[in-house]
Amino acid sequence: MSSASATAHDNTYGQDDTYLYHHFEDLQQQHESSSLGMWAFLSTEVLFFGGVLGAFAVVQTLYEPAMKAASEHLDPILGAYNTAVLLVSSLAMALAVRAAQLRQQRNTVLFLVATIVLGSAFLGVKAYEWIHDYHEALIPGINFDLERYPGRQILFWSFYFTLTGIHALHMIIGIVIIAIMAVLVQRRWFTGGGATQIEMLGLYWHFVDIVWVFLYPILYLINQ
Amino acid sequence: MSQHVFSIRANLIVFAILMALMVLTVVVALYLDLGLLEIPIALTIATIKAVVIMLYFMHLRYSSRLTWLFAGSGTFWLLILIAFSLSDFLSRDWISPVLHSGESREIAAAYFGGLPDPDTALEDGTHAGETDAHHSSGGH
Repeated sequence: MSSASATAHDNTYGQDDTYLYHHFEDLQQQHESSSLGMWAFLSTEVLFFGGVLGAFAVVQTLYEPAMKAASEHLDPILGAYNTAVLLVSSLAMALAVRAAQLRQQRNTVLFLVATIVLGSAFLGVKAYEWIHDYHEALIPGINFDLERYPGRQILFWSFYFTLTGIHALHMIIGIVIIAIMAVLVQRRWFTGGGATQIEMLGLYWHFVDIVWVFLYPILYLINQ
Repeated sequence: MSQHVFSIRANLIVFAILMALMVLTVVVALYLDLGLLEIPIALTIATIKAVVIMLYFMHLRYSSRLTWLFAGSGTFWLLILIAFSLSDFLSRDWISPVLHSGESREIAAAYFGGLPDPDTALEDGTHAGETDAHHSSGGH
């Protein structure tokens, strides 16, 4: 393909789907190996969250009354608002990937920034909820009030903070990587538009969205 | 390039479907009382949303079957984890005298000398320790 011009380029890591690295047969195979690598990583992420989710399934089934009593202190409307914010951020990310595929670098950067803003809005609401929980003495290990919330309700809150905590951590990591990629696209660091790189980043962001799609009903809704 | 590019229209339609499903799951959970069906319905809607996101936002629909295999493997092992764990915990009653609830709990308590269940107050539906907590929660 364009190997003649590409070899002149000394940016080894910033090549994208117009440059064929020597260990691949063709561009199609090269792109698919990127996809496969990301999906393999996401599979391990499924299992990372899955361990906690599996334990939650068992506890939810065995101690339903305690789970019901505990989740009454969550606001499902705030959760729904956050779900909507995250879905809009996924849309923005999908549009960023589309713009990158079409080599529209300006739009790519704009949509990446939109994704960052929406992701931060999600984290803001999450922080508001956590602060509220703190004032209600609901945080196990810090100030959980066993007198006010008796029985096994503390189990629910342990799961709540573990699950939303590791989800928020993934959001923060995602936002940082999106910011780095936005700067790189803005500076024309990638030879093309960074299409493959932005697409793989999109896979990660959509995965984080999917995790929340499951966390929202199991934490906020099923016990209402 | 050979990669499939979704039109803006397609992206917006997928987004609208996801928002509609989100509203649906909230309405079903908060305004309809479906008892035992609530959890299966909520999880089904969540699964549909996840599949829509994977097929369109994550481009799985136009990816190779090998990518499908990678995408499905994580979920498959997760289902094994949950199914086998639950089949253990849910079937313990069937052969053991130590049950979670009802008459047999008293039998077990009498036999073993009795371990108090911390959730007894909650199961009566009276929410004994809950009342004052509700007053101070400020309607949140």
